[in-house]
Amino acid sequence: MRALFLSLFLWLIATTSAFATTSLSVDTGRVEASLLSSHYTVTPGQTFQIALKTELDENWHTYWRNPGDSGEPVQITWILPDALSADDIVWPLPDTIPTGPIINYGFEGAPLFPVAFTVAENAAIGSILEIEAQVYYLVCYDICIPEDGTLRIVLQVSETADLNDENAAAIVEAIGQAPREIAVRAAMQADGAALSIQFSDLPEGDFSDAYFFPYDKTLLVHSDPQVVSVGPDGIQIDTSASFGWQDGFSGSQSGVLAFDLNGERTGRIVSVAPGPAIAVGAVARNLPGGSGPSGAPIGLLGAIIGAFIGGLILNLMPCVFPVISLKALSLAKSAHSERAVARREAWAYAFGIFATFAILVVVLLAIKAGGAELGWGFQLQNPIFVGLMALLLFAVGLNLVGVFEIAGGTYQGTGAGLAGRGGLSGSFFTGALAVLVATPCAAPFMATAVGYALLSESAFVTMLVFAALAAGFAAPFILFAYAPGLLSKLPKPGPWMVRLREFLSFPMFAASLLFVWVVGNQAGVDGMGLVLLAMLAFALAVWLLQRKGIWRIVGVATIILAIALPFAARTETATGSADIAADAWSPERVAELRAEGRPVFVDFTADWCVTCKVNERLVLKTDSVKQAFAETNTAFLIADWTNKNDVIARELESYGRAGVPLYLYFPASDNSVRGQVLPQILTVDMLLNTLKGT
Amino acid sequence: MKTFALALTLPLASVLAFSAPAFAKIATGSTVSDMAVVDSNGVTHNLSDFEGQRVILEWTNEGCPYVKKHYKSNNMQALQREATASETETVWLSVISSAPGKQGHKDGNGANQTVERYAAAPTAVILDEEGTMGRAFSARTTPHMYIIDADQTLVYQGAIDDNSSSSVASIDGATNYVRAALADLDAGRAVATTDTQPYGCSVKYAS
Repeated sequence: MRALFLSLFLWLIATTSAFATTSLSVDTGRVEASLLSSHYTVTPGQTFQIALKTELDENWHTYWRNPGDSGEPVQITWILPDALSADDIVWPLPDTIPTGPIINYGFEGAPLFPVAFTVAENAAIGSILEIEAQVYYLVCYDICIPEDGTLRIVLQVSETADLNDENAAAIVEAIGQAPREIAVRAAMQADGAALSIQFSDLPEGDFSDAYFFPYDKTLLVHSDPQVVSVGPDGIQIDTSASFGWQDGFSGSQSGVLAFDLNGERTGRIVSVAPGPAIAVGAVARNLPGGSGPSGAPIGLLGAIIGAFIGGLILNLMPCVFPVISLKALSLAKSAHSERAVARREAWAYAFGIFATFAILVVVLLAIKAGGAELGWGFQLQNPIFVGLMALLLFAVGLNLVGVFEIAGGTYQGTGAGLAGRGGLSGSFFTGALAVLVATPCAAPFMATAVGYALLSESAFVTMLVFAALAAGFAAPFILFAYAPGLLSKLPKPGPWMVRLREFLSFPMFAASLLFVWVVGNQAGVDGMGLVLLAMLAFALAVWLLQRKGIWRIVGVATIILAIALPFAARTETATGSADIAADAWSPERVAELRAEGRPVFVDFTADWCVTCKVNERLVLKTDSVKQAFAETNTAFLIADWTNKNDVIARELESYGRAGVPLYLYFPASDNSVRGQVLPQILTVDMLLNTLKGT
Repeated sequence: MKTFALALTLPLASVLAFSAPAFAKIATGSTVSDMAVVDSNGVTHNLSDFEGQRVILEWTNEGCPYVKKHYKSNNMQALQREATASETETVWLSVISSAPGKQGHKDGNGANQTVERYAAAPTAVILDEEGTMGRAFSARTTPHMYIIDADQTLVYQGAIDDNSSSSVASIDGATNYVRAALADLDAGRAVATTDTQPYGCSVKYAS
């Protein structure tokens, strides 16, 4: 009898030990589930761990506590004896699992879900604890299958706690890798559809690719990207707010902030409460590199290449035509003299270009460092500068047509005069002039490169990109000077040069007229009158200087007067006029119109921006486009940057641009805060397609 | 030449990328823009044709366990009949946005046969295999329900009810948001619960 009892007891111990700590695994279909216990035996009052181990078939995934756009989280329902109480699942770090445009949060592979258990203080020694887990999960790949199973584990209460080394090690590792709670400074703000979350006092790690997994499903739109801006004091995540904000979030919301540490993905549980933004020093919403035509970020290399190509194309822009043609003329003149001379002049020209760009950029950066909101073309926002430019171009035009000469030049055959003159200083001056007249024209590829350069934090990067722009601009003439054979193909100097030089004065006068017109818009007819008066004074001075004696002195005085006159010009408040019934742009107006359900088109323009004016004439004011605006009830807003305007400059900056034009389109059906960026050179077809949504 | 080509393709590629259909979301309370949709009988409907009628959109996928939960229990069919029998003229559109080759994709005949098999009562089944309509509404799950008022305003979008389990037993006792919203509209009230988190399988768009 005793033997029977003993063998029964032994058998009981044997089987208990064998099956106790790891349950039989259940194959639910795509998943093999089992329970792992950290201990064979437990003591009263002890805390121990049981983990649900799920081994998923390849490519299949289960879901996190917030499954994202679709799916259901892993669920464990425990059936426990009274002596045991179970805590919540310690969730592993989830991954974003995209399916087309839909994003889910879940797990692949063999995730472990540890749960902490506590044994009651009064548990009887020797008692058997039968633990049952009813597990349920939705497991998906291309289709979804709800699977469930029942798992059992048996433990014994004893005087000593017996560790199952293998299981305990696996569970400890899982808990170690799972996100744990930390304290950070965090705040979030929802503004319409836009949600911004700032995190500060962060632990060590690389947060440039951070992602926030909220516990609450209605906090943010899972399928929208999270744009991370890193600053010295923390990070800001910009994404879209979900409908939970309609009722508002009163208290703290928890979630997991995922980031990289030593090359591995990890996460921490954090709490965020709605509140005023924390300053983390993050740069403008786009990555510091600025963005390409549709918002894709470009890197330094992309900016340099873009700048170079932009510089090349800039040679073809109408603004620079008068100056470039002069340069071509002077090249033709020196082409048939010594090769070395032609080359030196080409380099002097290039140097003029570099130097002028450098000066403009340095001045711009210096003023910006002082806190002013300026962009590319800033010098043209000042009517005094524009007036002086008009006067300068007028003077060059007079010189070309032969009204006067600059001392040292000769009249025949060598293209005398400031710009058409031979010699290094002439080439240098031509280069400088070319840059000054190029600013009103924005070449394709230039805008994003310039935006990248000016928004970059490093002055070195800025200068590098502008150097590439200057290189591209000067390149054709350098090439010409070095290309064997090309120079000799140019026609030989002769009387035709004089005629051509005189003819080129007219495009120069036309450029001068353009600037006069811009002054008119900026400073009104009074400012225009001042500039025209300055031109008159200059013409008079030129005539006087050719006289003798006292008249020369009067002539000098008149020149000084001519140069001084434009300084009296004052900016008048601009009155824009457009054929399409246009509203002045403001961020509030955009929000108002979008709330009304209207699509919105924003035109960032300036009077001195030739590309903008060309787009207006050729596209925006055509009948078919005007009709499309009316049909689709699209609102047309103009952001006029002819004069300095901080709000416009900041808005341009937020799209990675430093100059105009910029065309934005906000479709009616889209709640995204960022507008769609349209190309700089508009075409009627493209605009009609955009408006009509085809 | 190489760098030129590279620099050319970068902006071109991004321009092309931006021209792909957006996964937009129509804010509840705003007007639904017009779009042309084709049903299982090849008939084209414009959403604007339904002005003056209430429109209920139901994204569906026959193979999805959550859709099966509502169809095997006759819950969806009963809701369809109730809604279309309302005093206000109501149109019920079941929309299939599954891409060809993916679960739930149907051609015209297949869709009609499914309707017969389940004795369902939609006004029409819309075949949206390109996913255009789904993306325009940001439909994420099956089922995903939308209610558009007679004046073309979106008054409800989200789950069909508040129990996201896949088991049929969970229907009893769950609050049916669609029924509640229709009751609100019939009584002339504003819909109380306008947005809920939809549940179900993800819509099988082309990836």
